[in-house]
Amino acid sequence: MKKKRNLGNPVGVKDYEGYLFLIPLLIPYLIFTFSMLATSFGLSFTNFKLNKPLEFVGLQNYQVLFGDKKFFSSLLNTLKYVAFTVPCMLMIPFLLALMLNSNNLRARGFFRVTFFYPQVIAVSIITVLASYIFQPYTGLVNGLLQTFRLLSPEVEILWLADKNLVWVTIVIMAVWRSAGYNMIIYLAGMQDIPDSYYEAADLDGASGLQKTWYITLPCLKSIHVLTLFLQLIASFKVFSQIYLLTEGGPSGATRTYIQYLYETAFNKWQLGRGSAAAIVLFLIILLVTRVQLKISDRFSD
Amino acid sequence: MKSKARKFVFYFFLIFISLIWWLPLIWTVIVSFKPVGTPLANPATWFTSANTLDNYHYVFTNSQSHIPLWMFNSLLTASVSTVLIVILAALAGYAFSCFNFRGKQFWFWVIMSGMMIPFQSLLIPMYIMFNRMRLLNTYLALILPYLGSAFGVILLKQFIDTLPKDLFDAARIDGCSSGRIFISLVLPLIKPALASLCIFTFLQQWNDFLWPFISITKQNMMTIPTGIVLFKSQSEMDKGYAMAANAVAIAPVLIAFLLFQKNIVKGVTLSGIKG
Repeated sequence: MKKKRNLGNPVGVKDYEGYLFLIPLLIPYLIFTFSMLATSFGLSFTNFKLNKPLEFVGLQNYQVLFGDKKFFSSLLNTLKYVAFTVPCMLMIPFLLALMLNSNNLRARGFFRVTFFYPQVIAVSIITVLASYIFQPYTGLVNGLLQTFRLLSPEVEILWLADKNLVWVTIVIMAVWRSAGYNMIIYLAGMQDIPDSYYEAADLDGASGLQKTWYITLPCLKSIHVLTLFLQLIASFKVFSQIYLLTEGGPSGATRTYIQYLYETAFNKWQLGRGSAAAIVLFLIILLVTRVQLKISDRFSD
Repeated sequence: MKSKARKFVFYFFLIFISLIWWLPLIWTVIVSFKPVGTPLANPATWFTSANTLDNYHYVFTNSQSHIPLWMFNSLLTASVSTVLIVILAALAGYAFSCFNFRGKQFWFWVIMSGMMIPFQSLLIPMYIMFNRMRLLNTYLALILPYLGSAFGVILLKQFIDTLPKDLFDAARIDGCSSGRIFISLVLPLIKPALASLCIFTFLQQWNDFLWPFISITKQNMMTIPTGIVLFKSQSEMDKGYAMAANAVAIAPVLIAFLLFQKNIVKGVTLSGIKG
C-alpha cells in the first residue's frame, strides 16, 4: 500500500501535520511582514489620508520625493552616518576583541561586561543621558576636559549646536553604545582560530603584531564581511538615537532618512508619500542584502 | 622586565578605556543623588557635595511621574510578547525540523527573506491598520506586531536539527503523538536555546522604541523607553529627576544582563552568525 506521494514522514504522521505547527507563526508573520510590505507598496501610489477616500495618483509620490531637496539631504545625512560609523564599528570592536582575547587576561568577564553593557540599555535612555552629558557649562564631557586642563575653563564646546561637531557627538555615542555588540561577534570568531596557528608562528619567531596581521585578520575574513554588512544595514536604519538627541538639528544637518520618512508620515500625515519613502528604503536594504549574499557566497567556496 | 612594563601599559590602557565606558553610568548614579542645582562638572565635587533621595522620591511618588506605571507596562508587554514569540518560534522550528510537508522549502525561504524587510518600511500600513482596529494606545499594539520572529525560528530549527531523531521514532512507537513529543521531548531538550532566545527577545522587546513611539501617545500606556523621552530637553532644574528616572530604568536591564550574561552573549553570537 503505497501513497501517491510519499513525503518521507514517520509512519502514522499525516503529511499535513507540519502545517499544524507552522501555521501559528505563519499567520502573524504573513500579516505583519509581507502583507504590510504589499500595503506599503500599494499606498505609495495613492494620496492616502486618514479618514479620507483613497485616490490613485500613479507615480506622483515618487516624483515629488525625488524632487524634494529634503529627501536628498536626509539620504545624504544617513550616508554620512554610515560612512562615519561603519569603519569605527569594525576597527574599534576588532581592537577591543583583540585585547580581550589576549592570553592570560585577568578579569576577562569584567571587561566583556564593560564594553557590552550599553547595548542592553534602551536607545532613548542613552539619548536622554547623552543630552545632559554633552551639555555645555554643566555637562560631564566639558567638565572633565576642563578639570584635566585639556580645555580652558573659559571655553565651552557646543557639542550639539555645531553642524560638524554634532556628528562627532553622534559617532561617539554610537560607538560607546554598540561597539560591544560587534566585539562579541569578533571574539567568537577569534576563539575559533586554532591555537596551533599561533604556536607555529611563535616557533618562527613572529611578533604579536605580525601574528595579528598575518593570522587573526585574514582568518576572520568571513566575520569581517558579516560584521560589515550587518553594520551597514544597521547604520542605514538609524533614527531614534539621532532624532532624540538633535531632532535633526542644527537646521536639518542631522535629519536622517528614517526621520524624513517619519516626519512625512506622522507629522505632515502624508501617508502616501511616506509609503513611497518606505518602499525606497526597502529597495535600498534589498540591494545591500543582495550584494551581501553575493559576496559571502564567494567567501564560502 | 620589558614584558612586565608592557603588561602594565596594556592593563593601564584597558582599564582607562573601561573607565570611559563606565563613566556615563557612574555619572548618572551620582547626579541622581544630588539636590537640584548642585554644580557637578568637576569630578571632585561628586564626592564632596551633599546627597539626597529626593529625586528618587519624586520619580516613585510624584503624580507627574509615571515611571512605576511605565515599568509595569514594559514588564507586561515585554513578558507576554516574549513568551508568545518563543512559543511560536519553537512550534515552527519543530515543523521545519521534524516534518515533511508540501511547500516546506518555499515557506522556509519566505521566513528567511522576511528577515531582511526593514521594520521601518512597514510603519505606515501598521499604523493605519491599528488605527482602523482602534488598537492604538493598547497593550495589544505592543504585542501583536512582533509575533513572527524569523530569527527565533531559524535558531530553534537548527537546535532541533541536532537532536537524535531515533528518540522521536521510539516515542512514536510507544504511541506518542506529535504534540506530545513536542512538549515532553523537544522542549526539555532545547531548554538552553530557549533560555537564550527568551532573554535576548525580552531585552529587545523591553528596549524597543520606534513602534511604541508611534503607536502609543497616551502617557499612561507608554513603556519605559518611550516615556523616558519626556524627561529629556527639560531644564537643568530637572537633571536630578531625569538621572534618577534613568537609573531606575537602567537598573532592571542591567541586573538581568549581569544575571544572564552568558545567554545574552550567546544570543548575540548566534544572531551575528545567522545574520
